Amino acid sequence: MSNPTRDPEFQLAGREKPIGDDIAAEIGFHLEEQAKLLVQQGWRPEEAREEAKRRFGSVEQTRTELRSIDGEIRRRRRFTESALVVAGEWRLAWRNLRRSPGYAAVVIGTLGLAIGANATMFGVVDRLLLRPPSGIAAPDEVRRVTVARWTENRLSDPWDAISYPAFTYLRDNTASFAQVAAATPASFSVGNGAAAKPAQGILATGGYFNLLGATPYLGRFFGEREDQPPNGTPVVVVGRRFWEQELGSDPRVIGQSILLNGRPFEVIGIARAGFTGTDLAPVDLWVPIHAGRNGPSPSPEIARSDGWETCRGCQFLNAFVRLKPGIAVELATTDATRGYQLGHADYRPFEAKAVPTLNPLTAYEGAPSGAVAGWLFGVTLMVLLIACANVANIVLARGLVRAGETAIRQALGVSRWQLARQLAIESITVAALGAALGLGVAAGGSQLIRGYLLPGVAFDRSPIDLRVLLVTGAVTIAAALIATFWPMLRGTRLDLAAALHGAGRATSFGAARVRAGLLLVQTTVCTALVIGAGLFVRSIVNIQRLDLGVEPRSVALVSVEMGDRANETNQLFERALPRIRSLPGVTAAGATIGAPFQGNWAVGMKIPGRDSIPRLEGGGPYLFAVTPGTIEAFGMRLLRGRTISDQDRRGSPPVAVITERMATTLWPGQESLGRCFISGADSTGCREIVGIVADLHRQGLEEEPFMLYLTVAEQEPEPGVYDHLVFRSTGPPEHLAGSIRQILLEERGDLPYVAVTPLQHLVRSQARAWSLGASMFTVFGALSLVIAAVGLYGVIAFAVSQRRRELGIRSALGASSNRLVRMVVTNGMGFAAAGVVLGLTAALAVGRQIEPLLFKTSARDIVVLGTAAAVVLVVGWTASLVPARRASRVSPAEVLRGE
Amino acid sequence: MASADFDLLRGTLDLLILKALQPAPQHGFGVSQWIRQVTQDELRLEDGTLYTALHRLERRQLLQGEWRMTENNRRARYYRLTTSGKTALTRDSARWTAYATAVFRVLKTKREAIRLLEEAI
Repeated sequence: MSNPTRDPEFQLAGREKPIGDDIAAEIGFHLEEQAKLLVQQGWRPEEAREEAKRRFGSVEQTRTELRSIDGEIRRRRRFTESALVVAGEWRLAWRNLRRSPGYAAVVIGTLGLAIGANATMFGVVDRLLLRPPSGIAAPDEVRRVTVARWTENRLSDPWDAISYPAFTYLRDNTASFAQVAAATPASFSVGNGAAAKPAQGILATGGYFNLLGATPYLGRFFGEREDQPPNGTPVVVVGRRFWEQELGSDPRVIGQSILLNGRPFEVIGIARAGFTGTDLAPVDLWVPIHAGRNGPSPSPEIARSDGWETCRGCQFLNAFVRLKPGIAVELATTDATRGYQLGHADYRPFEAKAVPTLNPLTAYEGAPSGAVAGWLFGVTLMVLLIACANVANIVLARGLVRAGETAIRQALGVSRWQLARQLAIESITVAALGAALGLGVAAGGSQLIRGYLLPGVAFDRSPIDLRVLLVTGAVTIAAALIATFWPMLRGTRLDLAAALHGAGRATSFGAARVRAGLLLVQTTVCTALVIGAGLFVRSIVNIQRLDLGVEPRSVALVSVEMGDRANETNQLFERALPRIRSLPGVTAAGATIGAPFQGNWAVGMKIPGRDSIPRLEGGGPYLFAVTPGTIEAFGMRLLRGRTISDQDRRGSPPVAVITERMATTLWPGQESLGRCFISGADSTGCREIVGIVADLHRQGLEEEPFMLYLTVAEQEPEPGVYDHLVFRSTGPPEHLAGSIRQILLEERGDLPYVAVTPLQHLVRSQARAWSLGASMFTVFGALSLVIAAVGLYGVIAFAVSQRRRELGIRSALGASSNRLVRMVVTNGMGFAAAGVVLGLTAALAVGRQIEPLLFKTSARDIVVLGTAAAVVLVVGWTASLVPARRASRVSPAEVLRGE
Repeated sequence: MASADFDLLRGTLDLLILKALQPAPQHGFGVSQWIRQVTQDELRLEDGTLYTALHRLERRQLLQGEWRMTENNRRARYYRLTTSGKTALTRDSARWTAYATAVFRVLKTKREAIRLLEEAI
């Protein structure tokens, strides 16, 4: 056989011949050899060629087949080869990073923190603003009803509470909805006596689960059948977490009864994990509203009203609708408005002219945390921008340092494309490491945010889910392109000759301008973020300084859900009060119907001799009915007169204590003490005003002005049921919770859960949106400050290293080291000052948008703006001082010799 | 031809090619000559089919093709067995022998053949 030798042709990789040539050559060789053989066997040459072709079959067809097969072979080989090349370049990138660990640490750390901040906030924003609550089928069709009411001859801003009759009008007078349902949160006590536990529940109408299209984890949900008037069926659906934590994950619990507020309810189903109904707050259990009505009180009004099903003034329900397929929202809104107004036609214009709106479940405007979270996401993007600018600067500087290496590679014939590919791999490596660090940061950060800042939100997914990963991936690629690839690529645009000559010292004005621009972006955005942090911190300070009219520190509210034995509450409280007052550490205690941040009610009020009383924007006059000691326990400030005493009891002349605003509204410029008014039913008699207290907060931290008065509960014609015991202690009131529970349990052994809630907690939960803003803005502001400081330091330090020669000469010519320091620091402060000016401008421009999120703080607060500017300048000064010191120590002899 | 027959033929041809390349690398013409000689031209194979089979085997990475010079100093595309080609040859010849034996025996005595077939399967 043959003794083949290697094809001597030198083939450069990547310059392959076209496939067709090879195939033609191969077939040609075969035909020629075949013909040659046939000739040897005695054929005539032309006939031999014909015979060879005949034996071959269809040359054309074979050629086509071979072409397709070889094409595939070649594609596969190319893929393998480029994978090998990429692997090699990846190793190179890795080696480069290992060789300069400081650079790698700064770049990866900066990107990691920024990517981590983004991933964290995206997770939060995704839950709060982007995704509908978990477990709802076709959530786009589900709408939350809010209603704008007709007051003072115009429509109010819409709010989301409606009455039960209003819900039936929406349900019965409309044709656009596949389902209408209503629900209201309610707190429950599960179990009895010392083992009782509190639970957060939802009272829902029969259509609720059907409307949401949810499916249970186990068992079934309740429907219209279980919610029939008057009393429904006592069934309960429990949340997955509640089932796991309180019912021991036992599937046999279905069909069994649990005690809710002392009454047995049959467990019929367990909701899926993460299911929280229409809102994001965690829910432990769901009860049909007609079955739950006699137990937990959905609102103070209802506790005192048997007719909640017919009470058109009792707005305590949130209504939801599911649009019929194909019905436009506008059409459905018109339909809802018609149905709503039709039902209220014989009622006050307040409802008769009211206009419902149908809002998507997501992006619900009533959630301040959502708006703050949206802003914070924007802030994290700003942090990312700073980080990218910073990294870009570092990479640019490093590109200059590496100019020599790059120039040599280019001179050796490596194309810019190949260089770019290698740089892309290096930048992706850096960004990917940053992303890995970022996900770690996000995992930790999310736990903190979820636990401390947003405890009222049931997060249904782990902090790092698919969506977060996708967003992080996109952010990482963007960061890699902007922050590393682009500046690296710039580094390859070299004047080869110059770069090879003066390797390491090649600077151009263009590059310096870009770096200065990037630095300016950093200081500007950083200033703006520090201002943002300042504004939110200022809001928190203002909240802390807020005069609530009560002193919330060391006050706690005690409540007991007695269910249908509510009428025994007063007896229990009256027996327990003397014992609570005598507890060591308790300085005052009382009982009350209505409390700040909890609930209050209003009854008709008249002043003898007047036709009407003025109305204030905040409504009212509202009323708390109290016992002696309550005013002292809340720490209300008595301005004039006296508080309620032990002498004010049933049968004694009725008295009242009013707020200052009520006094100045009803008797402007006159003494109101000693005057009297009629509260509620005429039979009560005229109540003498015996004291005036400072204005209180009723529901929230930001309120329109309103009037409020306190009466003696015992003197009410129809004494209500106390909803709270209130006590003031010398130390933290939580410490007394155990003793108080024990006293109440000793008085009544079968007592459901006794809730002891420090008033401070209620205030704090009101302040949550601002706390979220303040803490996150501060974290991100500090992060941006650190990044900007590193950036400024890096640029100044680099400038100093590039100017060593100049500095050495100056020093040799007699410039003092102080002078050199000043020169370098001035340079750095120039950047910082310019950034501060731009940042202030930006903050003033955007300020108007953020103002609604602040608490009684102007976005142009001079103290905040001034402090922020000072902080950035001080950081800038420090960041440039370090390299300046180094500059002053440059030894002229060494520098000049080195040249 | 029915597709089952065609698969049978292609499998056979692949095996023949692998066998042809077992002693030493060879170009397509050499393979065709060898097959013609050992089968005494019984297969009546078109050369185009042979080349398609060679390239397919290369795609399956059982063969590796490369350009070399022949002893007459002409450029020709040579094929050699890869490691997986050698494995395939060993495995497929064993299978083929078992199969052919079985078929052969069927034609002799049915009963024994069925037993053998069952074993083979």
